[in-house]
Amino acid sequence: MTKKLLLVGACIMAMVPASGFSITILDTGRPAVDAEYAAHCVEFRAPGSAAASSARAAATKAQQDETAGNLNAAMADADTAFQAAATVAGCAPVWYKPLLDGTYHQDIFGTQGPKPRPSGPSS
Amino acid sequence: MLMIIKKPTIGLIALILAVLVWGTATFAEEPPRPWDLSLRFFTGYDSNVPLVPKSTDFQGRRATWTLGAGAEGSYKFVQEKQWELGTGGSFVQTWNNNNLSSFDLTSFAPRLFGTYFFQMGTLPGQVGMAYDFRHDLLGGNEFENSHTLSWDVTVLPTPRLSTGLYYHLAFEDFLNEGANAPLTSRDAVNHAVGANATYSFGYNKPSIGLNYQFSHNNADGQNFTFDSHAVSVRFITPVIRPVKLVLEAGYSSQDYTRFTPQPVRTQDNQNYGATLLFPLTRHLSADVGYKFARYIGSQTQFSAERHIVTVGLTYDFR
Repeated sequence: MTKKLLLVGACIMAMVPASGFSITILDTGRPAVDAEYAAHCVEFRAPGSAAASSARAAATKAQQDETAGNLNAAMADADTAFQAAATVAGCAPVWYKPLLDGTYHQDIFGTQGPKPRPSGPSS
Repeated sequence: MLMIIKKPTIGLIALILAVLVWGTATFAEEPPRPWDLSLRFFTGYDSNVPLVPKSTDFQGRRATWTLGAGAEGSYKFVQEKQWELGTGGSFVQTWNNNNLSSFDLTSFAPRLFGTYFFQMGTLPGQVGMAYDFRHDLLGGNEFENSHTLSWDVTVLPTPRLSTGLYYHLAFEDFLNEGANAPLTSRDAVNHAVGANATYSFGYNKPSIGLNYQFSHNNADGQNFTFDSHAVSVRFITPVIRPVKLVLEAGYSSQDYTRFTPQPVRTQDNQNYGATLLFPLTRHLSADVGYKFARYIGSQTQFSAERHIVTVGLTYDFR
């Protein structure tokens, strides 16, 4: 029974992608992480390319610089990784991801709203 | 080896572990994680949730404190080097107090999308196509369904500049067609074409984005047939690391070309927004935002103002 459980667990683990990175490259202000996203995307889309080498080197350096507490250098490294990514189709950085909000798809103005109002000229 | 042959279960586990080790070793060429998911909780103040005109004797409530929750995500079931296909969507629920629960929004928006990536000479680009369905309820009652097909093309002339063109074809279906459908039905086929560009000055530096859109709303009710020109600009800049400030402004001019009675209705609408983004951890970020919208109609019953303040918390499974 224990072996079967182990087997099922191992199979589930095998199905989970080894990488925890999705492809969206966002400038979150965390240079080592962001540079890693960029490098990973370029290595997937253009393996072995100059852009991939450049992005990987920049991501490695960003990690080293961030660990050493040199944030300005780490951000410059992340910029290098982002620029390399932006030369590869499908790896363009996303500069802003809109926030989910509760606004209506259609502007309800001038439509008497979703329900008749108690009073007023447009009701 | 003999033991593995004798014990198939152990052999299988060993094989799976070997695959995992191999997968880690070839990490670089592994497809990226195929899914994205984020959860969001927000609260805020809306000064005019029913969008009541300024010149009115309306006596009801219009301001509310809002509570909201939402999720959005995607799953790419095909993720190749040059193209991908996926499904995704979002869900949002808001709750209003002050007896304005009839404006509580429940929105389901699933989508299908496909993208092809190409190099135009040395310039990277992509073409995309998507189908979006949206089902909105207000106060628990069905409000609108829409189906949107969209096509877009994006090219990066330089690594810091992204430019794009798009076309959206939307079919809008409202539950309530009004008292006189030939005049008041909002059901429509909406065509929108647009162009956009975003320039970034670099990582953790400002970026600016511009968008222009022309749309023609061919509504069943002639009072909702209009042509619209809209421009918007978004400026993002770091303030104090890692905090960022997002400034937005938009203007749209709408001509309701078949409005009855005469004179024809026109609208000049403006919106402005400022949002501070606070990344708290790799996964968690907070935001505080203020938006102001001003609707200036050629007729006073279509002029209104709205102030919205929002505080939110977003968790990204990055």
